[in-house]
Parts: sequence; structure tokens; C-alpha cells
Amino acid sequence: MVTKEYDIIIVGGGINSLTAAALLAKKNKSILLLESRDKLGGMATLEEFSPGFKCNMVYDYIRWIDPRLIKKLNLYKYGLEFQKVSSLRIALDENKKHIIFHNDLNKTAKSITTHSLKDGNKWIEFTQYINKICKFLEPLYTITPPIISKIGIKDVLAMSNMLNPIWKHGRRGLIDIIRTIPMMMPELLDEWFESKLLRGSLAASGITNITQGPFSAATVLNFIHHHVHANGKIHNANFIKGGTHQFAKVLSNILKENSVVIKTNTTVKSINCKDGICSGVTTLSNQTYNGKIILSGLDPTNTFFKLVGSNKILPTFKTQLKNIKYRGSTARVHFALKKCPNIPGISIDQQDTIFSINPSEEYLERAYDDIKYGRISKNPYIEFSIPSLIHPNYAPNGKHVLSASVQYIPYHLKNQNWNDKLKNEIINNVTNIIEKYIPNFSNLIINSKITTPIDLEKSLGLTEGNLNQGEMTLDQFFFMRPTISTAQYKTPINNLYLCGCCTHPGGGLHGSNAVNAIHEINK
Amino acid sequence: MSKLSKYDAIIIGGGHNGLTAAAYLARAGKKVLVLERRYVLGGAAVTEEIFPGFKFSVCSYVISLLKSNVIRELMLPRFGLKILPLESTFTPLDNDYLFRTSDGDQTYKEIYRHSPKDAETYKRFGPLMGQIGMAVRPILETIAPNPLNPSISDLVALKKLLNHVKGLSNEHFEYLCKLMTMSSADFLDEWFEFEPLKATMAASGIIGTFMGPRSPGSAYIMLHHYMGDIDGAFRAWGFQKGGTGELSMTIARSAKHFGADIMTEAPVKKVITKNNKAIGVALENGDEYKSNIVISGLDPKLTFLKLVDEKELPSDFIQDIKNFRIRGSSGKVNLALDGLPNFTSLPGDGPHLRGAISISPNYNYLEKAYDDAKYGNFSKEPYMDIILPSVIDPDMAPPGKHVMSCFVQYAPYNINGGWNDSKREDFGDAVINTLARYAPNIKDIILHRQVLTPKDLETTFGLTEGNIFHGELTLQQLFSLRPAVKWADYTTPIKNYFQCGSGTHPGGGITGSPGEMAAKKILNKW
Repeated sequence: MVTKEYDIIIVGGGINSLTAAALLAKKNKSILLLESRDKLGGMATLEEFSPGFKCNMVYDYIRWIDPRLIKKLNLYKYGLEFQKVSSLRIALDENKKHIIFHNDLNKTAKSITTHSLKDGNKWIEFTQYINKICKFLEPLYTITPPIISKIGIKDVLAMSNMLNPIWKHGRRGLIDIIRTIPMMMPELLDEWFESKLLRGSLAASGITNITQGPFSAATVLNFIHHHVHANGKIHNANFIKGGTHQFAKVLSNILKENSVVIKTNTTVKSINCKDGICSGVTTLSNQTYNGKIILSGLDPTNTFFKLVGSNKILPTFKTQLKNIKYRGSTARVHFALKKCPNIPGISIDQQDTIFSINPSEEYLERAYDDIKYGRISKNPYIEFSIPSLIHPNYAPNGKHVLSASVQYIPYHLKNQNWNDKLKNEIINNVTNIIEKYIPNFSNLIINSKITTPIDLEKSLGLTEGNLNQGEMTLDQFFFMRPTISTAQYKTPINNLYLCGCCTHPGGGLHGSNAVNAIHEINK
Repeated sequence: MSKLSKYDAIIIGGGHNGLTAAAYLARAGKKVLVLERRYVLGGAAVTEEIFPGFKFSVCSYVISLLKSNVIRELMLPRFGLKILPLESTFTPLDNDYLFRTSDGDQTYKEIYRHSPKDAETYKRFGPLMGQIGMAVRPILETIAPNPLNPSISDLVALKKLLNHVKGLSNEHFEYLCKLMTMSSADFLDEWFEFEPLKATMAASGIIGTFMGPRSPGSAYIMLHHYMGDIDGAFRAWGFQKGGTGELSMTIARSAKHFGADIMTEAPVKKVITKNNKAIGVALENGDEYKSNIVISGLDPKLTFLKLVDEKELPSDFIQDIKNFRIRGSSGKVNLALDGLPNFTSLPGDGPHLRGAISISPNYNYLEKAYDDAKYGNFSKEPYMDIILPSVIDPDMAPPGKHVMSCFVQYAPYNINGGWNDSKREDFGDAVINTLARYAPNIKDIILHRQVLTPKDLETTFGLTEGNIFHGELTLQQLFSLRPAVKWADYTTPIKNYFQCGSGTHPGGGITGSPGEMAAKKILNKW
């Protein structure tokens, strides 16, 4: 077969790959994007999990999108639109004293007051404190991590700019950041709140999509990561009009307009490297494409072990790759429902939001204890929404969809194997727990589907089913992400770059990884 | 001693750091007074004859981190320093054991028996950790700079550190970053496969800390324990002849030699201040002593929340000290024995009784012990680090008899329902039952037992919440943040009031380092 030449070849069709392609397309490069699935979007895709019932496969909502990306690509013009919902989140209480996190901080504070007057009074100050730390991370998220051994005046200057928003709060602000980020959630919470439900709800954000319990150091980092660009709105959430997959749609519209060549159903078999130089890729159908630059949106394990080949990489690098921690623990459970569930204490027009089951931080820690020993959490952390209330086309008329994320469901099970029986057990358990908050829930269910970390690995190529392409922990952050030798988006193999969420600043559908990677490539 | 006599410096607390500071100041010609609340010197590094004829290192029991320049500068060998090597670790298992010694070949063979791969890796691992320990030492030996208003000397020190870090090889730098942030279990998983080996090594990452081996941050504590340096030999553990109290006495003798006055049974009630300046101390009995400066060797909570009035201190500083985490997690069980314990997996007397005995068969065992404590109970099957001092130093017990020191984790300070006598005994029973699983004869040979809960550690030794490090060694409580930002250089917001305990940089253990560095900082300005 004839080999074709491109300026840039992008492996993978997830949000970061699409972002990278869109940014490069603006530079008049010839670009080829290869996606093994039949649709683009990666973790931002819609699936029909039961006839007539659709749901976002991984993310029902987005925490934040890199503002640089919105501006550079003019995303709003291409159709990106957020859907207004009634509140950010509702932390469910078995006694119907739910805490509602409103868009309006004062209303949230009032809702918290039903549990603790003291906590309610502290709420505004807390959001300001968190926002201060986020304002520090925001610029940090836009830079390429420095190589510490080569750190020079330029890097120091770049970093000192980051401190500008901090100086506003006096030097003390900087200390708050250094002190707070390595903390475990209860340490932070002890300094602020007493209400169990409020603490549980905040701790939940610290453990979302990582295999750590709230009592693990640096869970505050994960908490802060979710609140970047949130302007102090705790539990910030953005629903994209039509669904999360619309984000991918918007990006692919830009690609089409700029004549980027997109090939779906095209699995890359190998990234071709010789003598440490990368020249192109070969697909499963043995078609070879040559490219000046190859950009991988996959995680490092897939990129290097599967596609480059472990015989082409040096032993030190191999060790670093092997030591990346993935261990996914989030499962998704989708329910097709006969009708809209009724949550006591919440009016129907308030139900278009995210609900969470996190009675206390101890509840979450006990859920974590199970996975520590390789077991499925008996009482898992559950976060769910009813997407069909937001996107009516997700379910047939009158019927509804409930979409839940469940933690912790181990990728590495001990003394047990994954099978359908086990999967059904999880679904039943999740059903029973939700039923504590939605009476009669089990009778509403027409059908259900679970996506375990194993399934996520199989369907989306996420190693060990980790949604962040590597855990968001302090030892895998900034210049350590994904490994110390590849934190600058460049890899030890010439012309091969990484742009997935395995890189700084980590997971989520925000596109920052690709924006930073493109900045490096343009250099 | 006349109450009117004025001292250059008064040191509150006769723990090993307080004594070290005293010795350094006296050595520089200052008139120094050390005030100790108890009848005996040493603080947590103390030897007491709890039962007639049986001497115990009641609290702290091994010496690994004592700085060599402290030994030299205070001429400690001349005053009785004699460290007997404690060079092996024995991990009994149900049907087998793991026995590591300082003899590389022997240890290689032993580990090889369990895992050939680990035996190879182990040869590389020790030296690497030693090198990283070396790489960290300049950080530990730097007075923590004030990041808020760095002085010229702070900037010089920072630049030196930055250059030092830049000088590290990529490999060392990477491992250093990992050790600062990871869990000891994750870190060791990158190297080894044999669980008892991993668990025993990981255990040094949980000592004195309210963390499990899988808790991020425990790798740093593991490294902290690798920085041990006796006479320049890395990773050597030792036992002071006569118990750790004898080490404190050695430092006390050195201090006295240089002219320091030391008073026991002299509990300090308050630091006397005038215009936000320390001018002396008042004892519980009403006596007052004047001095130019006052140094507290107590933990930060006592130093700032008890010894001085809150209104003397800025409110954000008070907040920092209140937020300082000092959760106690360990207890101590001291046993007087009629004979030697007989381990099922390795019966009889032997070299395995001459080192540390670690009850740490696997990660899950340690994690389960931690789980108990997380939810407010003592561990039903605790982690233990045991030594038999009388085997190494026969003077510790009557002929034919023995003393056994069991460091036990976890025992939370805030136990459900609070500590009381019956809970203390239950805790002691849990320890004995766990021991009996590996050495069944233990129950028959116990003559006396002393059980110390974190609450007891607090009451007896003045360790707030029973925390043996005067504050947890977590990332946000190290270096410039230990115990609080701006005041990590041994100074305090009160003029002429200083701190020199383990709650300051570089933290806990019998290092003498906070005492030494505080004294040097003070002398620098004087």
C-alpha cells in the first residue's frame, strides 16, 4: 500500500486529541486523526444502552473547560452551549434534610444552615478560601511543567507570574496553598465544618475518580482540581446542551471546516519508531501513514507498550511507565426507567441536577476500605443524575434515564472474578441504596447496564479503566505527570508527543492538556 | 540556688533536645538552666526501673538518627555514649520467618529463599535509599527559611538548597519526589514482591504516624527512618547501653560539664513576659527565675497554648498552632520476662532476638490495624516493633531474666469512649495475644507488664495527644511550616522566646537536631 504523508498524525479521537487537531488545523497543517471506535469523543460519547434509552457513557457533565480553548477556537460560535439547570448539586439525606448547592452562594449557605448554623455562616468564607487556591492553580495549569534539573530564570519568572493572583491575598495566601494541597480531606474540613453530610459531600469531591479514601493525604488536591475555573462555586458542574458528546461534536465541526482528515474505525497497530525517532503509524489494516509529528491522546501505557513497543524504549523509562498508578475504581450504572423518579423533599423542577449519596466522610472511607482489600464497596459512594430531564431525547416519551457513577469498584478484584453475576450484584446493591432515597425505585427500572473499569478499558482503551489516564495524586502531578521524563508533553522518542489527560494538568474534559501540548509543539 | 540569680538562658523541658540545646549554649559560655518537670531527665528518651531489677527505655527505645556532629561537638562518648548495634530485623510469620541482618550476603540468601527477584533488588535498594537519605540531609541541616519575609541568610540558604537539588541526578530527584508524596506501600510495590519484606519495610513509614502503609505520605516517614546515621554508618540502628535514658544522661553530663545547671522536679507553669518579651519563667511552686532568653523543648501546643497567654501571640499564629496536627497513634507495652520468648517459626535463642522483631506479616495486616484506629478503636491485631534490650545489654534485667519493649500501633488517642483502666488492660491483652500467636510461651513468662496508652504518654511525658514526634510528619507540617510558617526557625512571635523540640524542623526521633540547630541559631544572633 502507498504510504501517505502528513504534517501531523493524531492517535485517538478523544476531547484532547480533537482539541489538538483543531488548534493545529488553524496553523494550516495537514492533519490526520485516527480513532479506533466508530465515533469521536472518547470519554465524551453518547451510547444507547437499552433500546430507545441513551446516556453519556462516562461524563454526564463537565467541571470546567479551559477558557483559552473556548477563546482560541471560538467554541460558542461553533455551537457550544451550556444548559442552565436549577442547582449545582444536591447532597441527599436519608431524613430528607438535603443540602442543595445552589448557583447562588447565599442560598447554599442557607441550605447548609438546616444542618449547622455555624457551617452555614462559614460557607462564603470557605468558598473564597478555595477560590484563592484555585486561582493559583489556574495559571499553573497553563504552563508546561519545568524540568527541575534545568530550571532557569525563565521558568522562575513564568512561575512568579502565577503568584500574582496570590499576592492580592498577601503572602499568607501562598502559604495557605502550600499547606492545603497536600492535606487529606478531613484535615481541611476540620478547620471549617461540623455537619456530617456537608463534610461527606465535600470529601466526595476529593475522592472522585481516584482510588484513595478521604483520609488519604493530598485528596484536597483532587478536590481543588475539580474547582479550577469555578469562581468559588463548590461542586461546580456544567451540562452541555444536548449532552457531553456535543463538545466532541463542536470540535469535530471545526476539524471538518479545516479539512482535517478523520478516520474512525481505524485502529492504530503501531507507532513506528527507529533509532529513537518516530516516523509515522501503521493501522490494523496495514496502512502506514508517515508524519512529521505524531501526537498521542492515549495514555502512556497504551502509547509506549502497545504502540511503540517495549523493545524500543530504554529500561529507565520502561520502569517509570510501569510504575504509573492507574487502578480505576469508578463504574457507571445506567438505568432505563418507566417514569420520572420522585425524590422526596425535592420538587420535580429541582431534579435536573446531580445527586450524591455521601452521608459522611467515614462512609466514604469505609467504602475505600473495601477496595483496599480488593473488594467491591458494600456501601459505595454514588453520584447520579436524571439526564433525560435535561436532554429529553435521551428516553422515549414519558420514560426516563438515571445515570450513576459508583465508587469504588475495583479493576483489580481479589479472590473473585468478574462475571455477569457479580455485575448484577453491583446493580442490585446500587438500586437498593438509591431506593433509600427514592422510594419504589426498583419498580421503575425497565433495564440497566453497568460499565465496570474492565469494560472502560475494553471499550475506551483506558488502562485499568482509569478515567484520568493515571491517578490524580500528588506523586503524579505537575512535573511528575505522567512520568518525570515526559512531563513536558515531549517524549524520549523524537517527534512523538503526548496530549491526553495523562499529562499535566490531569483528567477531566477540559482540553488543557492539548492546549499546553500544542504550545510545546509550536515551539 | 538563689531565686534572684539571673540566667542567660532557661530551657523548659529536660528531654534530649532541651538538653542538647543546653549543652550547646553552655559550651558557648552561657549561663544555662534546664528545668524538668519529672524526677528524671530525658523526656521521652528515659530509662526507668519500673519493676525492681528491671530497667526499661520506657518510651523511645532505639537510636538511629542521632547526628554525628552532635556526638562529636558535645563529646558524648566521653560522657558515656555507648551504642550497641542492633542490626537485624526479624519478621516472624505463621510458619516461616524473614530475618535480615547487616550482613549483605546472609540477607541476600535469606531473601532469595523467599524471592530471588527481591534478593537482587534489595542489593540496589539499600544503597539507593542511603544516597537519597544523604541527598536530603542538607535540607534537614538547613534552618527552615521564612517564605513570607525571607532574610538575606534565608535567601542564601534557599539558593544553596536549590543548587543542591539541581545537582541531584535525575534518578535521585525522581525518587526523592516520589518518597515525599507516595505511600510506602506503593513505593515498595515498585521494587519488591515478597509481602513480609515489603510490609516490614513499609512499617517504618507508619511509626508514630496516624497513617496506614497505603496512605500517601508514609513513604516520607520511611525515608526519615533511613536517614539514621550512627557514627557515619547509614541505616544503623542502635541501643544505648543502659537504655535511651542513659543517652539523655550522657547529654546532661556534657551540659553540666560545660557549666549548665539542671533541675528536676521543677515544673514550669508560665513563661513570664514583659512587653511581649520573655524575661523568665514561673514554676508551679511559685518560684521565679529570670533570664535573657527562654527556650521551650515542649511540643508546639504546650509551648504556645499553655506556657504563654494567647493574647501575647498573633491570632493567625494561634490558628496555625491550633490547626497543627498532633494525633497520637501508638502505645508502648513493656514486659518483664522470666525467660526468652520462643518463636514457633524459629525456636530457641539466637541472633534473631538481638535485633528488632517486627510483627508485620503483610500489608493487609497493617492496614487492618490502621482501619481499627481510623474508626476509634485500638488495633485488635496491632503492628509491633519489639526489642529485647536485656539480650543486648544484660544490665537491664536481673540474671536470667529479660525485659521486652513493644512499640505498638495503632492506639488512637481519641479512642471511642475515652481511655480508662479496663481499656488499657484490654489493649495490653491484645498485644500479648498477638505476640502469643508467634511466640506461644510469652504468656507463661511474663512477670510484670506496663501498658502505656497515648493518654498515658501524654500524662507521663507531656506529649500532647501522645504523639511521639511532637506533631505529625506530614508534608504540610515539615520544613518552613513546622510548626507554623514564619516561625519555623526556632524563633517565636514573643521576643527572646524560642523553641527547640521535635515539633520544629527537622522533626522527631532521637536526633538532637532541633536542639542543636535552635542553639546554633540563637548563638548566631547573640
